[in-house]
Amino acid sequence: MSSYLRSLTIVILVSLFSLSGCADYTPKEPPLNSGTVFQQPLEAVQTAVRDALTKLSFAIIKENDQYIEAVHLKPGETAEKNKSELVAVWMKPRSGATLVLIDTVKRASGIAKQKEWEQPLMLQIMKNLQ
Amino acid sequence: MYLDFKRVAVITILVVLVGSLYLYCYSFSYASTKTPETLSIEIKHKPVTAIPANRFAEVAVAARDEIGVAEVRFYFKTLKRKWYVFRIMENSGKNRYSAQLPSAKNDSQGIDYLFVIKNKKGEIFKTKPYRVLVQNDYSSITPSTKDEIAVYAEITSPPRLLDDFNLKLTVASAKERMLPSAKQYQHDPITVPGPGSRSSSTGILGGLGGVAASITLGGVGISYRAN
Repeated sequence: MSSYLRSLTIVILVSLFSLSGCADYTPKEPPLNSGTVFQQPLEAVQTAVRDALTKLSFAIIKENDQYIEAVHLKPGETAEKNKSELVAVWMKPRSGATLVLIDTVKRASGIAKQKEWEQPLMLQIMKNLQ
Repeated sequence: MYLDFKRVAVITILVVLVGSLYLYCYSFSYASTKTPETLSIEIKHKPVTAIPANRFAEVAVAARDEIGVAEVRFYFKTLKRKWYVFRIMENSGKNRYSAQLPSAKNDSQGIDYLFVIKNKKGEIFKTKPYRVLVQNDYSSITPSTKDEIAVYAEITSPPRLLDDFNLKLTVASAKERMLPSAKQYQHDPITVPGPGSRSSSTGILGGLGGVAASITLGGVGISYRAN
């Protein structure tokens, strides 16, 4: 009986640890003071953000006027089947300027091959707006 | 067989806890809320988000209007173009319209496309533009460039031939310009994540924030705590 209980305990613990691999894959809006303000109207920044995402091999999976979610695709991957980072971009109009906030969400598996995209994306957005 | 009541209770509680956590994790999905539409028109489309270069893609849209749909146009362009070309979509039955997106060349980076629908009352609606990522594929064979397709453009004096895609586009001026006067179709709102701190998503034990568990059964005792 005790060996049965030990086996059951191990099974339950393995389940718990494997659940921790089911990490939170939902982006969270960063604090407002952590973003970059571009002295450009929202429409111009929207275009710059979309083009920056495309340039850096992101497939846009969700968007509206002030928010875009995109997944980074490596060769051979599809938006439905990939093990890649998810990036979320918030664009907030501020009297003729636009505040851009970016969050990178990494998958728990294959994390060594994933990276933070805030800086490369911001740089590309700046380049596109020049 | 005698079963210790306490042990049975602990096991039951743990099984329920694990099961609930599984349901919580895997039921998490992006939900979108629908707002009541007062328009007569309804448009549904599953976006094409990425395609490899040198491959064409079938694009389909479901368009329904109480008054009846007169015409559906498929507008598309590569990123280097500022203006769209379009094709008239074929009605493949049950309010479904389809067209082919020509295969893009390597280094195209992306394609933008959208739909314009005109109903039998003459009202014109356009969808938001969708962006398709073109993934370079240097290993595939570039399709022959001898093929041509006819497209229309809504600009004055468009070039006769475009080579933005693997096959040549022969461009004619559109008799009726719909894009400038089209009303923006109101798509279903999407759920936008709000502010908040996310527990670390790095490392194998980073996922379960605020959970502590301690088990001692049959001589085996293990505790787990995550912040």
